[in-house]
Amino acid sequence: MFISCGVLGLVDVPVVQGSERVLERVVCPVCRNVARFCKLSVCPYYRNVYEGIRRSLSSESLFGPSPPALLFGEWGYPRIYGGSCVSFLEGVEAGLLESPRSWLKFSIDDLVALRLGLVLGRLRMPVVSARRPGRVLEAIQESALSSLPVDVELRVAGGFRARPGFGVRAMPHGPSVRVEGVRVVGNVSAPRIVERFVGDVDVSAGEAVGELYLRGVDEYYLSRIFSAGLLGRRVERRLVPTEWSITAIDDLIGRMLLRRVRELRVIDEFRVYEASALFNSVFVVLVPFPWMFELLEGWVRFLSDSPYVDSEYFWGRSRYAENTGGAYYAVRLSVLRYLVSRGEQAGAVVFFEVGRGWVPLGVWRFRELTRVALESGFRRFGSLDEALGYVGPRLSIPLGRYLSRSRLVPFIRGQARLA
Amino acid sequence: MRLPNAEYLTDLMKAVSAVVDEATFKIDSEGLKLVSMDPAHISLVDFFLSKEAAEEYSASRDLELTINMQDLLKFLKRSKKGEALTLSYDAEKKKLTLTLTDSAYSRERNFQLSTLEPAGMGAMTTPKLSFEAKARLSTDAFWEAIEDAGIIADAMKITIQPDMVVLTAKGETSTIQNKLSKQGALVYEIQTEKEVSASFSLTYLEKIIKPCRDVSEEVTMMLSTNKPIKLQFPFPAGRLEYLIAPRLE
Repeated sequence: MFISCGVLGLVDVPVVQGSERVLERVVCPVCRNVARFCKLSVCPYYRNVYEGIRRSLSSESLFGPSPPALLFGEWGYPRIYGGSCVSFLEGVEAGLLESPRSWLKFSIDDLVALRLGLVLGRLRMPVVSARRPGRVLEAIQESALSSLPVDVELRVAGGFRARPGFGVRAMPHGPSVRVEGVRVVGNVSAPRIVERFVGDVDVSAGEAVGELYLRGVDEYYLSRIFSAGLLGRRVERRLVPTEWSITAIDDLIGRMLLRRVRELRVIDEFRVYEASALFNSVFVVLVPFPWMFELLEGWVRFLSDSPYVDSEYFWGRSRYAENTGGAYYAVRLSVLRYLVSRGEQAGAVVFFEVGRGWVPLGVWRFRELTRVALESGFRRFGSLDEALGYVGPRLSIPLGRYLSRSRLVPFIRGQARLA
Repeated sequence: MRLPNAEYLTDLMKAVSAVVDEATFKIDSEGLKLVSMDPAHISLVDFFLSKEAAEEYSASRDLELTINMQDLLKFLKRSKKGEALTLSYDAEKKKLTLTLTDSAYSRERNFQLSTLEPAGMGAMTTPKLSFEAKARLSTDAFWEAIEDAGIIADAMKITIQPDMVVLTAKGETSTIQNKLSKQGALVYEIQTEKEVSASFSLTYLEKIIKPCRDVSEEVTMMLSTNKPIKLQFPFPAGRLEYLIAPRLE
């Protein structure tokens, strides 16, 4: 059986660029031990989740609350695998399984246990089927649309796979089964404004996302319905692999906010914001410049690799941030959102350090940890060097390693101005 | 204002938009003027289009109009080869009208653009600077050096020596150098008594030089050590100049 060799030996992580590439294959994301030393009896996944789920999986149908959560992989595009997830955890409110905003206060073990308690009912569908969904996809879309947990029934067609799914950007899930039918039991509740844009097949996806965001619909909800192919003009609608959808939404909202930030008053001091949780720490350095942004991402576990970096100047960027990937757009969104809420403009250099204990739980922690840092107040500094002098000793990787990769720090230090 | 060739203005406006997003043009009996800095105050553009460039020109009184350059460019990019362009401004309605006329097909297209409230910067003049060295060279050769430098660095050092112009970029482990000799066909003139040099951010050089290649085949650079550089792109009936603040190492 698969699990005898640790979980990770079998976790397939797609090879992607940049920092996301460092999701290595030697460490098991469940127990964080070297995969080949893993023992059946000590694997928390095996002990707590898998045995329980396997017992209930003997029936032909699975019934449980969905947070709601859905997942589509990118493998096989444009015919992708994925579907709805239902919770198998007893005594846990299902909504908690898909609410990253409240996750930073949990431990990694708790989060792994929470997420691995989700069973994915997968089937293969062409992405364009979102336009004219059959009964199964219609039910998946319906559950995605719900803003509250909803009961879902999966009709199992076999193909039980015990291995959990870890991705580079999406949150993990537990075992999966092949399904032939999906049924939403009970009522789905969605805000009226969301239903209006879902029903409107003449508004572009970008416009719909912008409008909904401005009316208070958060990015997690948006990325879920975008992934389910529920937004956009009729011809544009398609299923979007979860990881693409997350970053697409971060970027769309970010671009919209950036247009506002460019008009705002520039701050006149240097500031440092900080936060750490779940083996991740972030330092946001705001500088008295018009909008600029840089993410410097260092992985303590891979000291031999230089920190990953991407940056943009005032005009924003048009090419994908291929070194830091989804993290770039997630952090940028939180910074832009903060600037808009304060009515301020600034340049931002963000140091994000991922510690040894981290397991791939998704890109949300970039977004959330940056948000927490920005919301918890700042320290003032008179110069960039003073600000960096504060940050340097608090990082595990030497500051110089980050700075050698930075484009914006030499720019801020050396660039003279005309007036 | 009626221009025989719409493309001419498109190229110029692309060059201006390298520095400014919202441009406030002054219009008077001489022509169209603009002096503006980018939001970070690192570069400045000084633009003038004389009424002599136009077949017809009239300005009943002096006025200022502020436009979003991207909106203007969207319209200008619709122009086709051989089309003439007429610009007219209705001060009461605050609307700028672009009329593209294709005489061969007797077609006329009107684009109307609302002007914006000026952003308060008001009149700005180019700072008076003196320069120790001057060189005239091919814009394309300068552009190629910038592209070379972009492979490894964020900044490029421009050195004017009595007998050559040297463009250098340093990366972590590599160096790229472009030497343009005074004897060669790419340098038209050098005036300097000593060696003068300064470094500039490639981001700004790229943004500015790229569109200017369509405006002028030659560029005049005026430089003092570690001071702003002035770049002039001569074209008939007007002036296009930039200042860029240096990068200090």
